[in-house]
Amino acid sequence: MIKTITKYIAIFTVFAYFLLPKSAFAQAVDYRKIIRITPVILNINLNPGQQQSYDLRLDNLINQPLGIQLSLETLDTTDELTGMVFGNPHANSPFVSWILLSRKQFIIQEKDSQTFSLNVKIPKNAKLGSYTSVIFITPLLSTANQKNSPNVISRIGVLAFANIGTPKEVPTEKLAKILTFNFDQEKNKINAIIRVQNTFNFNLSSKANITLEPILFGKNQIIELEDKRILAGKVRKWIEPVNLSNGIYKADLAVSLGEGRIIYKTIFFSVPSFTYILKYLVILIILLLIFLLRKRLKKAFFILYKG
Amino acid sequence: MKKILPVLLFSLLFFLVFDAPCVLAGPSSSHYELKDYGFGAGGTASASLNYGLFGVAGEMEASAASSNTYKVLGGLTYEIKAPVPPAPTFSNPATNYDRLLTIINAGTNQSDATYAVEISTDSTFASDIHYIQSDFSIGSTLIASCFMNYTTWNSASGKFVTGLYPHTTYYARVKARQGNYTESEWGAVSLGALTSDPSLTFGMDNSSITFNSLNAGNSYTDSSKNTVLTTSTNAYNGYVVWANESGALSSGGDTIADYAGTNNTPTTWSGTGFGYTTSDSDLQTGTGGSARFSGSKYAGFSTTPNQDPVADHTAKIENPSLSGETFTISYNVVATSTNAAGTYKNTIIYTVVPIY
Repeated sequence: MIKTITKYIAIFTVFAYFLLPKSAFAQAVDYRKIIRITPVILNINLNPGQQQSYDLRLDNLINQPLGIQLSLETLDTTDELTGMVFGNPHANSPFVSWILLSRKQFIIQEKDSQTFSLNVKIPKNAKLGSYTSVIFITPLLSTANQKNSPNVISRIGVLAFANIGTPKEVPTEKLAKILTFNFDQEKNKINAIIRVQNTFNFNLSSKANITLEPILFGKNQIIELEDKRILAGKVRKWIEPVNLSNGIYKADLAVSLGEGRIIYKTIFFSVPSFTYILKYLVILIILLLIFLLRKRLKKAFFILYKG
Repeated sequence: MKKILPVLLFSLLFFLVFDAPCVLAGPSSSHYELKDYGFGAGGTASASLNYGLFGVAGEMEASAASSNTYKVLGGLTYEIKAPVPPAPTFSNPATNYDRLLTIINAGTNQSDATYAVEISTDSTFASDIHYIQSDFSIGSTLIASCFMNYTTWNSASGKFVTGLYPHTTYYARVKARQGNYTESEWGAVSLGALTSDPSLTFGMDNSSITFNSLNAGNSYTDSSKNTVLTTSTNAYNGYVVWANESGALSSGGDTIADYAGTNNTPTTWSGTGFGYTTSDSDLQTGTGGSARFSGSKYAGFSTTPNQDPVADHTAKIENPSLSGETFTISYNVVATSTNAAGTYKNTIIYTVVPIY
C-alpha cells in the first residue's frame, strides 16, 4: 500500500514539475531605446505613371509588445535652418495623396520587427519636379494612458523626398544662387552666414566650403561646412562659427551642387568689421577736429556762456 | 671723365639694341646640326618637381593594342607613365547611407602625382561607372579636375565620396597622373563597400509623469520630475525633437495654466503654471538663442505640434554615428491655492525627426 502511494506521489511530483506553470519574474523594461526605424529618410525617384513600393522596417527594442500608429502628413520646408514645418494645411503637396500605407495600426511583439509598405503611385499627368512628405510613427506602450497623471508619448518622423521625372541639363548658375555670404561679428563671436536658394525644380545636394585668405599675414584657412539638401525653390542656411584674428580677409565660398557643379562667391571683410572701424574712425576724426579747433570752440563756448 | 661717360652709355645702348641673341649649339656632326631642342606647333612641355618631358601632342611611336587580357600602349609614353596605384581602401566606417570613405593608396607614385577614382556598383566596371569629382560628389564624366593630389585626397585619412544610394555595394579603383603624358591604367579594384540605410532609434525613460501631491506643505510645487530622451542615428544632418501638449493640465473644468515663458524666450521661473526646461544648452533649432534654456529657464508647452524644439543635434554625423545621445526635459508645476482638489492630466508629445 505504502509502495503504491509512494509510486503515485513520485509520478505526481514528476508531472507537477513539468506541467505546473513556472513562476515568472517581470524583467525591468529599458525605455531608453524603444524603437528603431529604417530607413528614416526615403529617397524616391519615379516617373509619371510609375508605381513603386518602399518597405520600412520597425524594430521593437523593448521586452514588451509595442502598438504602432502611422499617419501621413505634408512636409513644408519654409524653415531655412532645419527646413521643416509639418502638417501645414496650406502646403501644396499632392504627393501625400499619391501614397498609400499598407497598414496604419499594428502591434510588434517584444524584441521583434515588422515592416510596412509605402505604395507610391505617380499619376501620368504629374508635374515633373520634387515633392516631400512625412510619415509619423507613434509607438504606444501598453503602460501608456495613465488615468491619473500626464502621459508622455513620442512620434518619429520618416522624411520622404521624391524626384518625379529626370532633371534636364541646365547651366550650373541656373541651378542655385548664393543669396547671402557674410561674416556676422557680435561681441567675441564671428559666424559665417550663408544662404543658398535652389532655383531649380528638383532637389539638390549641396556642400559648401570657405577658403579664408588673410590679405597681409597669416595662413589660409579652409572651412568645410556640412552637406545640406536644398529642396526645389527653397533656401537653406548655414551658420558656422569661425575663429579669426584681427585683419583683412578675402573669403571665397564654393557651393557644390553635386556632379562637380560648383557656384562661387568672393567677399572681402575685416576683423573687427568695417562698420566697427568706421565708428571709431568717426570718433577719432571728431576728437581731432575738437583738438584742431579748440581755440575757436573755446571762444564759442565763452560767447555762449557770457553772452 | 665727362667725355668717357656718354661713350659708355652709347656703347651700352648700342649693344642692347643691336646685339644678336645667343644661340646655343645643339648636337652636331659633319652632316647635320640640331639647332633647337624645341618642337613645332604641336609640341608641349610637361614638367613637375620630379621630371620633365617634351612631347608632341597627338603623336605616338606606336598605337595602343589591346585584347581582353593585355594592353600595350605607345612605346615612349608607356615607358615613363605613372605607376598603377594599388587598390584604394573603400569603406563605410560609420554606417553612412549616402557616403563612403575613400583612402588613396599612392603605391610607388611620386609626391606630385595626381589621382582620379572611378566607382561603380559593378565589380567588373562594365556598367554603372561614375567618377569622383573635385567636390567629392560623383559625376558621369572623367574630367581634368577629377585628378587631385594625395593631400587633396586627405592623405591617409581619406575623403568621403557623397551622393551614393543607400543599401548599395560600391567598388572603387584609382589611376594616377604625373604631368601631361603619364596617366596610368586603372589600378586594382577595391573590396566592395556597402552603404547602410538611414536609421533612427528613439526612447524615453517614462511614459507618464506622476507629480507629488501638491499642497500647502510643498507650496503647491513639484519640480522633481523629468523625462530623458535618448536618440541614436546615422542621419548625416542630425535630428530635432519638438514638444507639444494636448492641452493645459486639467481636472474636470479646472486647469493649471501653462507657464508664461515661451520656447523662444524662456524665463527664470516665477509665479504659477506648468512648464519645462531642457538640458540642451546648444539648441540650434528655433528663433531664440542657442543657449536660451541655460540657467534653468522655463517655457510653457504649446499645443501646436512641431513648433517648440526641446533638443537637437545639428552638427554633422559622419564618423562615428551618433549613439545614445540623451537630453533631459525637466518639468515644473506650481498650482495655486485656489485650484480645486483633483487629478490634473494632459498628454505631452515628443516628435523626433531627422534633419535632411
